[in-house]
Amino acid sequence: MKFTLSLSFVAIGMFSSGSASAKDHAVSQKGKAFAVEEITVAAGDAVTFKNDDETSHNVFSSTEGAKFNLGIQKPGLESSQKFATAGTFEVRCAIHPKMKLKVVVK
Amino acid sequence: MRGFISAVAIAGMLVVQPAIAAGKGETWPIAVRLSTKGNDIAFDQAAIQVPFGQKVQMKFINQADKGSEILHNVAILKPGSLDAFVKELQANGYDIAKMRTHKSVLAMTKALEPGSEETLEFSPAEPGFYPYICLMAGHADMLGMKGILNVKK
Repeated sequence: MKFTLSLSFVAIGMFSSGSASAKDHAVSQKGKAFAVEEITVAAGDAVTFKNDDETSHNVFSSTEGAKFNLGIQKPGLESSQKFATAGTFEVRCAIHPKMKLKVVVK
Repeated sequence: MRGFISAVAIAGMLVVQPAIAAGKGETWPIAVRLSTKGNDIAFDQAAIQVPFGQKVQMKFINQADKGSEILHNVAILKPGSLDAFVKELQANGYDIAKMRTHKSVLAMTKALEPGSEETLEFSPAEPGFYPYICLMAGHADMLGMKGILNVKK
């Protein structure tokens, strides 16, 4: 019983410390471009994509290990995406082909 | 009268009937219309059926609003080539120019501005299921902008 409880506390402690250290990185979209060309984050961090433009965007990544699609994002809205695994991922906009962002997850 | 073509839409699939009364020695092309679904990143037809043995004339229209800036194109691929083609498309950074001469491409439009259109003409070499997809970044692989041209014997 004691052994089981100890393990549970360890597990909760690990989970808590992981959540507390995860950061959220903001990336603005304005002028049909991401505010930065590249961003480096830690595994488990999230990136919040904010549409500061006057047109809609659709942020996605088709890179293995971080495939996601945030859908149509109207001006003023923001959406967050967690990057769980290490690697380099290309993020793009499905509406504006020139919009590219490299996300390096360490 | 050189001939006529009729098209019937059944549950999202466009079925194009064989041409009738083509002139002597003539092959009357089958006319097919494909467009985008307004500002959605999607085709208006998930499947199109045409008879084997005739040239296909496909008019593709980008019906997105002019202010939307959403580019689209369509590529007709050879049967069974979709997955490998999409992987290469991704590996090439969705570069349409690079994919134009790909061995799996039967026909392909340029990237079309909203409100514009282009007509393709091609002759399927054999009956089968020919995938059609939009090559713009993410449209086919992430947003499902693809369909099937069923060339039926």
